[in-house]
Amino acid sequence: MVGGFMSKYILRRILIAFPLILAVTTVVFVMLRVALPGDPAKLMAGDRASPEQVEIIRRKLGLDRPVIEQYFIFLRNFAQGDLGRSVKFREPVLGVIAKAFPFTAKITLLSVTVGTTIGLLIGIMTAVYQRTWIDNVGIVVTVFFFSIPTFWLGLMLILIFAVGLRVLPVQGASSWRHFIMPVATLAVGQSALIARLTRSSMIEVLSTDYVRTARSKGLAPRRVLASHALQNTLIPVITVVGLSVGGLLGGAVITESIFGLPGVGRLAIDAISNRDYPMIQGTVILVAASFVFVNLLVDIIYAFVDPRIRYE
Amino acid sequence: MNKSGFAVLALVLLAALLMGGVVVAQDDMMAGKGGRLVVADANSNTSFDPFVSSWHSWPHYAIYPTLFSRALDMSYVGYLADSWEVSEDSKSLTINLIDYATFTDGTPIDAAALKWNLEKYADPESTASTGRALITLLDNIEVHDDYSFTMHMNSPHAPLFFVLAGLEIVSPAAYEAIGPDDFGTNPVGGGPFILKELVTDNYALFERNPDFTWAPPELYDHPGPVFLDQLQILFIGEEQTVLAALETGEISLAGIPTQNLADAQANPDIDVHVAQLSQIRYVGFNTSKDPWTNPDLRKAFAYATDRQEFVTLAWDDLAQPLYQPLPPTIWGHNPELDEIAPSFDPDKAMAMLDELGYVDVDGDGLREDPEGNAWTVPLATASPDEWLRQAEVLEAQWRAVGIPLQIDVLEFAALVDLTTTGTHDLFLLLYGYQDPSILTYFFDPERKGGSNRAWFSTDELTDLLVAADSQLDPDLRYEAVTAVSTYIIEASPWVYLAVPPALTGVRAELMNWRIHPDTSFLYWNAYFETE
Amino acid sequence: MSERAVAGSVDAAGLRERPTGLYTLVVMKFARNRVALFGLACLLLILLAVVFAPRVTPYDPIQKDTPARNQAPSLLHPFGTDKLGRDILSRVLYGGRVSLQVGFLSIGLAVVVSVPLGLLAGFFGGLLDNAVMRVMDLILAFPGLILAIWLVSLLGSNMVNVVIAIAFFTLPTYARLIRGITLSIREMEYVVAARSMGASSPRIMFYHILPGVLGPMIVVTTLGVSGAIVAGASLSFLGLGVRPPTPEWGAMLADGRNYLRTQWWIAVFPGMTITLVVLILNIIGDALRDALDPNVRA
Repeated sequence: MVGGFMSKYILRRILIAFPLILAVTTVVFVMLRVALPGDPAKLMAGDRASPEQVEIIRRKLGLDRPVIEQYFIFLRNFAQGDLGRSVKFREPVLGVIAKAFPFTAKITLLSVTVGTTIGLLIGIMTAVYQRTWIDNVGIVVTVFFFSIPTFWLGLMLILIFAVGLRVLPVQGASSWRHFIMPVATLAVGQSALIARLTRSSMIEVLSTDYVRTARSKGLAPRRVLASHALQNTLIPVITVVGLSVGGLLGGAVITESIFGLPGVGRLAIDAISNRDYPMIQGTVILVAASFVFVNLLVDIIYAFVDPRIRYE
Repeated sequence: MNKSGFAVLALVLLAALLMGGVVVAQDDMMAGKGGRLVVADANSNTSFDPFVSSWHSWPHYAIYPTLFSRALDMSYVGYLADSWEVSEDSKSLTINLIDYATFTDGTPIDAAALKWNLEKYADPESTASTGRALITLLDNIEVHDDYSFTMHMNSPHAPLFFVLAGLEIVSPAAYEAIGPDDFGTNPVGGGPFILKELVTDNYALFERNPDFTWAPPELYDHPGPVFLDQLQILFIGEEQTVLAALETGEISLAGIPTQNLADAQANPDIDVHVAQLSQIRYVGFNTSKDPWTNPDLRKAFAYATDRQEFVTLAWDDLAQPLYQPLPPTIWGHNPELDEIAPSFDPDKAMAMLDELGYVDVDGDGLREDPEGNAWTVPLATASPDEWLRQAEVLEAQWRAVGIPLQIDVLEFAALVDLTTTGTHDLFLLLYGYQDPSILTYFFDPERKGGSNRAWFSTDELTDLLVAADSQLDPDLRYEAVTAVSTYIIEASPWVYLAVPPALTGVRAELMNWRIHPDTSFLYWNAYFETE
Repeated sequence: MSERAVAGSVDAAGLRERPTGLYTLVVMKFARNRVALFGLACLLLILLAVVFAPRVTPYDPIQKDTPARNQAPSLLHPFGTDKLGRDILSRVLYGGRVSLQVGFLSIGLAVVVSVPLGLLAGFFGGLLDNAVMRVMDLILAFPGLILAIWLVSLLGSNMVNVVIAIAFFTLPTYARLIRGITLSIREMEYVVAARSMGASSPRIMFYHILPGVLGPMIVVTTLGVSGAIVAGASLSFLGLGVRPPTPEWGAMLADGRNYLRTQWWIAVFPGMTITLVVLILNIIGDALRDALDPNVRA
């Protein structure tokens, strides 16, 4: 199935990834300098700077040059793997992101794994026991956990497990115990969505005639579930999981700030509020690359799960 | 202006003791004291290079010493400076340095190092936010010997000691060796701590500088090294997270949100210190744009503002109502001025608005403009909920006298940008500072499009500001500052609202700390008991 | 896949081709679901209370009342009062006007745009698929915060902009979801069979693929409403949306975030209202899906 044309497809997708990332970066680059209110030089100079001092800073940052020239300088450095120095931190952007990314990747992987597993389990349960009390409790619980704002959930966990029971630390990332509450916070919303999606797709498949027939022919329910039902419910679930992986790799802003975590989400937000242009560009490239890569992966997984799917 | 003789004697004695090898006494004093002080700071870090940074907060002063410091009575005392003298014409300052201070790279903190630092701050190419005054002020520095030098200035500058007390002194040798690019992450100073680890935007960890013995005796009973083994600053903005971490003991020192004050005070593990910030909240008018060019209209808004109710609704009564441009926490505040300033008088506000032609024509309770057209008063504000609440209180108070306020919420950088365009109307902002010279930045004709966000200046006010900033005699300067404040109150480019509270929570296990009247935390003598 | 599956599905498709029969069947099946009917009644009740808020509550939602501030829920103020002494129940009712509109309109707009995009991309594949999906990737990668700040500076505060902005960033999720399912369904035997029998592409998309997309779409859109309401609040913090003091659920929720330990009612009641609406939507959505599914017998 993953024959010659599939690998050609993958190759084409990888090749298109570069112009895509460049396109996003370019739009952001121009927007920051031309359209967006706010000026890194002013913010960096502080409240009391005179116009001349702001001008000096602007010159030092290279922002006094024409936008097109700035863009070519950016491209040249980008091609050499240099994303410049953060205006605020005065550190190389690449270094700052590289320090934060492993943490973000870890927490993404953990929370998506936990969230998907729990979501699938609840989804299957509620589908199999459709319209029983299990299903009814399931819908209330999943909707509740999906709707609960992240900052509430995070704070509630902190108040219960850190302040009340004193079993987990409030903030930081120095041990595995620090990961429990952030991962739970991120996983809850995802598992709720996946549970609802799984349930819906499963019911659809379970109610189709071929599954019913399989059942009536005396096939063990578990086998019916595994061989027919689950496989076909996976496509929407994989799509949603892919989207949340892509999103989380760009940082989980609220969770990071509630638990004081060293992820890329806070870097990205702070960069925007400080109009830290190089830093913004760096995080945009990261997010773009995550989505492009993850969405490619998702398309490949589609073809594994459902071998009939073909891409020309 | 010498330090007290006793202090000098004590230092000399201590130095002698140390050099004499009586280190045992030192060890005894430090035995059983130590620990790591963990602090929460809502701001994230910037570069530790003071010449490029706009952030001069206490992590910097943990690494770098300064020439002067401020005693508890707010007078300036020596830190690296041992003794000093101002010339007759107030244009020269001669400083004798203490002769035993060293940078953490081993080089001495001497006159040459100070000259290098001061000249670097005075270089227009430096982009430091403190020490900018030196760019126009400093003429030259004359080094007399290893530990004494004279700063020659172009004009007398009243806030000179304030400026010098804020300048972090770095090791010139290290700065030149490491280079400006990397010095920000590998800082070398001569303060009580050394930077050990920096996780950008997350935390900074410092270790005790074992050689540090030059803490100003007016502030610290023990000259150093500090008792604490480590200092860790966490850059966490979520106030409820910080509070929770303070409750569990993960953080030892943090600000307490106003709404949680009662709970924190009831908590035996936390000592709470309540003070006022040296900060004010105000509404500014763009006085260059009609109709805000009219001072009577601006005053009508001031009369319509109930500050007492404002602090009740916006800060649960923990803030102080404010009627003048300087808060009581900044030197130069004159309580007598409250008498002449517009205070809450809704009838007067309504009468003034009526007289100016802003009358409610259509009877909806909101006034129309003098031409009888619909009137909206845009107030630009930033988005944190504390700000929104203030804007909502103002909206409600002003609506009561028929002013149709429209709250325009902006992201902070966009708000700052808007006020520099001159197209804005009203804006809600704050400033925090420790010296009355701040007013010059807000009403300087050269800084319209910059920090003069009210776009307000007159020749008369400029003269008053210059007079206040060049008067070194404290009594005369106080009078000059009062004249500035009086003029600004009269012209009403701002409506002064409140002085916010500074609520500090400290873990009960931390011993021997103190909070400075300027709300900074004096922790160099603080410690945790260790076995 | 067995032969029977093909037969069953073709049968199902046949069912759908009888419009009147389909319509009555759907209504009939829905009407038999008592829980869903109850949910629908609740939703109507909420909508009525929101529309006729001034008749339901005696309090002005924006008038401050200093002595009454920070009151816990009581008979006088069932949801308590906020920092300015405003009745939270009144603010929830008035706030529903903005929040429900933002929630429904933005999700509706996202659906209207994403359904054709996802279907076309998935069905035709190839260049079209690649083009549409790469544009979606672009949107996903674009920092929403920057776009929002830019929109404010360009267009100012306006509810239409909020709806467009939220729809814009919801679009890629829905489009990818629909396209993924389409990819899978278009290769099913019955679709291949229908195509070989000469059915036109629009016909196949409408009668064979769209029904398969329905279930997952009902799930994500009914849940999406809460996300849209909360997103509306974060946009209003950037100046894109209704201005304070006009109440809005998401903003009320955010306003109370730092008061959960002391004045919990400020955020809990707007939060519960959002959850309740989304729960009702989910129940109705489930019932609707069942009613539309020909395989589920009434």
